[in-house]
Amino acid sequence: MERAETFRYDDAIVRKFALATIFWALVGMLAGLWVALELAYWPSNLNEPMLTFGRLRPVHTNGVIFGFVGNIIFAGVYHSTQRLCKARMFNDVLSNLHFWGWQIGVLAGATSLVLGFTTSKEYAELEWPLDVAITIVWVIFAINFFGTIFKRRERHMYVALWFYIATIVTVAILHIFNSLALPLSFMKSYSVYSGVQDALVQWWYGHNAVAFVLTTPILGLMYYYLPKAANRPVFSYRLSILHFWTLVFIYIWAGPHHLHYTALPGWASTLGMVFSVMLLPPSWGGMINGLLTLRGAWDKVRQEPVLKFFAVAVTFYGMSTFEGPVLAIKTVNALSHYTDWTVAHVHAGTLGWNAFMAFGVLYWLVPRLWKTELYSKGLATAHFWIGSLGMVFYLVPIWTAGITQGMMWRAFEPSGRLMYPDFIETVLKIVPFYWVRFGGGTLFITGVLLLMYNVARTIASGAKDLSDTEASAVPLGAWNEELAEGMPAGVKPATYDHLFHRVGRAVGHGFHRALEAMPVTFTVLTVLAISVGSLIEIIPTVLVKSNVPRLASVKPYTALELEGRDIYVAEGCYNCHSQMIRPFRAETERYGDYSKPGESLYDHPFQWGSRRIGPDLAREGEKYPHLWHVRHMENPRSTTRGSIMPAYPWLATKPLDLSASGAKLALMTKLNVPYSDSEVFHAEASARDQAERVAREIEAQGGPAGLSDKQIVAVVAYLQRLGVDIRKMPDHHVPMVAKQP
Amino acid sequence: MLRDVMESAGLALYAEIGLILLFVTFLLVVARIFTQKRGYYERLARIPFDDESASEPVARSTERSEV
Repeated sequence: MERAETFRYDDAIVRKFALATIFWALVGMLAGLWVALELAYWPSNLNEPMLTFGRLRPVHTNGVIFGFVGNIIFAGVYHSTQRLCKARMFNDVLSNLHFWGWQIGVLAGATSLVLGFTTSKEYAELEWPLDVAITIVWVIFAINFFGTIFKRRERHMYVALWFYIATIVTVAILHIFNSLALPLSFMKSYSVYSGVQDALVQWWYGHNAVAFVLTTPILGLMYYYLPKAANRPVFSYRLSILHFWTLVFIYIWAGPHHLHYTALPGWASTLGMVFSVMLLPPSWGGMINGLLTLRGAWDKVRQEPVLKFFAVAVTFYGMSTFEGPVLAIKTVNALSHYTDWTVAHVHAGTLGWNAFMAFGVLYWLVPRLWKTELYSKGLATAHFWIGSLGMVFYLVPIWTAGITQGMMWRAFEPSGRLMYPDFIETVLKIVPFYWVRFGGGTLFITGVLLLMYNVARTIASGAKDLSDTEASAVPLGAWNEELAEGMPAGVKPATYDHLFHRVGRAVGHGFHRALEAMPVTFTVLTVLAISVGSLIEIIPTVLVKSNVPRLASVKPYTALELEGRDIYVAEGCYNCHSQMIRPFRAETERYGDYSKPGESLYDHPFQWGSRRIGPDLAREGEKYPHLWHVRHMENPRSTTRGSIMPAYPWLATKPLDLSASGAKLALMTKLNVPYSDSEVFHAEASARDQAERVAREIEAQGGPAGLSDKQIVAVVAYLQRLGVDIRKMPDHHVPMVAKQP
Repeated sequence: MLRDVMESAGLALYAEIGLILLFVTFLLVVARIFTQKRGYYERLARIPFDDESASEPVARSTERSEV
């Protein structure tokens, strides 16, 4: 038996991540509050390209997901992993590289988004140089984390660590595969996937970003900090293991529920629905495990704000994981998809579960990290009540708005016509709810301000000497010796025989105990579990042709339309406009024929969208004259009374840069978009010709002259092309599997 | 080319086998969890309390008497 070793935990890095959490909470939520105001009161777009809803919404989502929640995860992981492993973090330099790399990454990300650099893939909007940087930072984190695991002095890996491991490996896989793109220039790239495939990969990522950024790591925090704060072991450790494996086996399959009734093949959508419903029992198992950990400690919940936050957070985890499977059922989704119901669902999870867990962990951690008492429990309790009230005023109106608008979209007159044929009617109806939501958001942020004040005063009263906490433990070598006992004679160390016998002995002690003792094996099994679902869903869609039938009449965009599409992406139009008509009468009546898989075949990336704050644009082409679009962009209120869309007057003044058109088409050919060599060679000239033509037509319709070298002509050309190709089919109701060109 | 190969290879069976293997593995994990001794897990659940500020958590037996 070896002697106990003395070592120090690195708490300085935890303090940094904790402070960064609070900083990004404020920034991310203020961005959220601003976009909420923009929906209620359109002039708050301020007529400024960088502050329009389309550009600011990704700043909000990325800021709160990767800035706020990301940093609380790291704070919790760095704090609890060291203690659960009885070891200092593997390497202090890596810890600090991770910290600064992540902060610079989020800051650069937010800056690039307001400047209009975006891939348009939700929660993965950052362009390729930032994607590469994030990958490097993540690898640094992984090395640091696994390095700590390998030098741990506690034989068993506590269940929180398993959740961290699943997070680290799965996020890496998701990020890399969803971000695969061919770079055009320093800050512009095109996704290697298109249309249906891109949609599937994106929502495989998007859903699992919820699973492995907003859920599993937070569950890891729950399994560590809830027992710590309640001073009770977790209700059932057995249930926590079951919780872990069930989530890892099932979560990854659920992504396609974001694409019900779209052009995604039905089998994938059904698979997503079934696995989503299957997620309910393990999630509730986890919730019950969390709540029952408080069994016998409910008197403490009355006095201790940390436990108040945890109790409500775990309850919201339960509510969100009930609502999620319900929304994943196709018939419910038919109503909820594209409405604010989804937004309400997400916020129940993020405000109730993520933010409240984060606040609880902060109130518990900060006094310990600065070796003092919390400045004011009363203020923390006030934060709890203001935050809870804020959630009520956020969630209730947004649920109501979502269901109201969804019902209005599908309402028919007895005569069989749409009851609300003008989309704007359904928008004006819910604007009052947007105001209430803005109030709820304001309350929630007020709570964050209280937290900031409380933390600042706590730190001010903190100990002068913040030297790292000392601890001691017996190294793991002792256990290895124990395992090696009884090794047959002649088996040399570091041979396969030796390993085999060691594993055999470990298995003799219990299969799962062996697993826990072997982080590599454990990690490999986790990766296998998440890979099966990913491969089964993605491979057929990406590699089997018949899943995405090609349409003979659907041709690639012209060079000018492609430029217009890039502007559409840069302005973030996809944040409010879908391009995917579902096969319902209410939708085909409103927008035209439902969207076919082959129609978005050349869309790198896809632009199906996820929310209809404005109407669907899949069949926008040739619906209105060019001039309508020019006027609409200049001032949406001039064509649509009451519109809440920001104005884009600069499109008519900013010069149109066609210098990269040839390179764009050339890059598209590498992605299998069938442009001829001649089309690539003459891209710029043909774009200029089409721009002249569109500008002349605008002028002929009574519009302003001299627009041919302005961005607006490209946008108009793109919008006028949307969904028109299919009409050129001889009869597009017959099966549309066409021969390959 | 790759797509034609994948199309004609008839890989659907592999997906089904994969799904079944996944399910069977899951059942094995579950079976293992429930055949493990209770005391073993109770010890593991106390790991978070064995750190620098070693505070003894409330034991289950006293917990019941509290209620």
